[in-house]
Amino acid sequence: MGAITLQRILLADDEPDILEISRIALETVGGFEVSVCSSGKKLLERLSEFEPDLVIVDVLMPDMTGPEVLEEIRRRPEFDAVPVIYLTGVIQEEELEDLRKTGVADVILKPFDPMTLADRINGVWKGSHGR
Amino acid sequence: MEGEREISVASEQLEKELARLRGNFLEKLPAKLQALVEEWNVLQGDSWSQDGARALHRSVHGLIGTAGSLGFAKMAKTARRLERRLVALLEGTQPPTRDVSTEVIEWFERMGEDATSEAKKAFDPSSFENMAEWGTPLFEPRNLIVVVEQEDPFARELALQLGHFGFELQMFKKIDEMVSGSVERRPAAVITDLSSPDGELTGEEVATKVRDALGEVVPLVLVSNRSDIEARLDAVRAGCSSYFIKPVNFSDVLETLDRLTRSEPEPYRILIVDDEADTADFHATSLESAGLETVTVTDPLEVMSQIVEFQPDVILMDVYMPGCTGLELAMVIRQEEAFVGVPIVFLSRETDRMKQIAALGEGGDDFFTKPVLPEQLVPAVSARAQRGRTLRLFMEKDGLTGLFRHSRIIEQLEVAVRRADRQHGKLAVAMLDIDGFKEVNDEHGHLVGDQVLKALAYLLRQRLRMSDVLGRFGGDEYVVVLPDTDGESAMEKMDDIRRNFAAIDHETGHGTFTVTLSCGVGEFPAALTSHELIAAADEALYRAKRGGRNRVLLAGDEG
Repeated sequence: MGAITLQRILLADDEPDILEISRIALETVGGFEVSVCSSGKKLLERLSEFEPDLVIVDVLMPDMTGPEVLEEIRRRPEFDAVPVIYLTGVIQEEELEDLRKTGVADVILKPFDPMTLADRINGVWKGSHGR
Repeated sequence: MEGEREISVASEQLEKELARLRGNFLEKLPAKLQALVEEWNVLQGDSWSQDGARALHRSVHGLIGTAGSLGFAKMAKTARRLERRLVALLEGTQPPTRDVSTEVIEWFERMGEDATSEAKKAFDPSSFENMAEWGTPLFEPRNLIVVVEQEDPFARELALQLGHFGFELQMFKKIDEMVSGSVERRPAAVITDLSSPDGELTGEEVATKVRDALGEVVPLVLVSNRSDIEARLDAVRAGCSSYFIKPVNFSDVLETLDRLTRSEPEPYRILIVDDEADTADFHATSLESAGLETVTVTDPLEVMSQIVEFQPDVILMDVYMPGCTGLELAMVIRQEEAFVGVPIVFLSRETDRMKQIAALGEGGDDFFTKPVLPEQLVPAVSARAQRGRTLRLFMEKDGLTGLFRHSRIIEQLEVAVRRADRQHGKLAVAMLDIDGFKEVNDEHGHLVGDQVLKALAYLLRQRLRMSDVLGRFGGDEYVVVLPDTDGESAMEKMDDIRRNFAAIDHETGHGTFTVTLSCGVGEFPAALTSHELIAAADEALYRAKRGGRNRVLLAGDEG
């Protein structure tokens, strides 16, 4: 199993503003160590180097979709237990349903409240570690 | 305690960081919006491409997330609406019309205005609460009309004008282009020109081709150069809904489409009043299995409130009940002017013919001896309901526009207010008034004026939801009751109507002209009663008129 407490989060989104908001929210309120990338490919490249406890990835990016990133992560045995969370602006219930079926730990809708983002991530973390 | 302090320090720090990000965002926003408008303008020319539109869509999509997360909720909502419009464009293959193009630019401008106005207000965390609701549509899906017309100018004019009324159009040049699968959903009607490049078609040929292409029968409107009786007979025999001879009067086509697209009639509503629950159940089951809607009241004293709420087409009433008799109750109902027209059918074990006749004298319309078999009850009640409803429509609806009359709309509003009050729900009332309507009448005559009044009624019916109640207050004043809608959303709907109405070309016989409308919106619970809501909407309407007309204002808002 990975670390008991959540420390390192790797985050990818092609929207620089959202990346900045999420990073600051997770660092200040959550006290996490956050690394950000602007695309799915970059996230995959950084995986081994950063060794995240948890990954947050935007669903709609020009180079790769969130589900594609998730699939790539699961191909790598050392990361196949890392919880992955999607960020998405999608609001159609059917599409959300499809996203949830991909083996993702949670789906967070954009826009989100930066004040409660860290709590939400902590909740997912505890859920995926059985407590 | 220590932990709590840490958290509050962290939130404070985040607040500070967010304030900084908001500042940056606002600073960069005008340039960003400008760039997007330019991108849109480039797309408009000859270089319309799905890829270009998709890129623009992605940028707008991104803005929703950023703006919303930074607390610019209003701007994010506006961006969400623009996104929906772009998605609709992406689904089609045609470049947008000039109207749509202007509208898109307006949405961009509005996003900038929203952000600036929100920047002045204090940040409101509650703006996050309603974000999940943004997905619910403000309008019902549009009615699709398929047009088959080889003459370009006529087809263009039809498309343009029908578009303003909220119809969605799909155009074909020849009937043969309309093959199986080429129309993606069931159209509300197909308008076809009988003249084709291959000569004149008959109604029968057209009806067959349309049926083959769509796999089902849809209302068919024919346009033709032929006015001879044979051609018309042929059209009637082929089951066509309407037949127009060129040059076509546009308002006639509209009237036909309005009639064809009116919603399916609601099931008849039957109020059953019987103190014996079992008997009431038996009757309710018989009626409901025949597709009628029922509500049962076992306490006669509750009848009046149910009549107001349920608005039955027929009241089915037991004669002997504890508390009061059916006859007494019928008299009470008949004393209310609004309920004079509702048919009352008595049910009783009474077999004495004279007593039955006496019951009819007290306001009953029919008398059945219990037990009544379903095969007798259902047709008798349905027939009563149908006649009752037709009669009521004459009394309640305005002959010209088909909208509710003054007294009736107030009643409906009161029902809506009670519901909103009980469910702590939302409710808005809009009052609309056509700008300079007197001049229209003076200049073009009353017939043309009536066309303008009808046009607004058609537009309201096409664009608003089934649950919205539409009425004409008299003259050129209209009222719309919008349940489950807050003032801001109502304003948005009405502004869409205002824009579309202003774009409609009204025909005079010599040419065309356009008119605008002004609108005021009142919302619950800022205004608590039907009276206050109307007064609030009226006050806003007055300000809209004074402020220069052609605008929509919310009650209580400055400016």
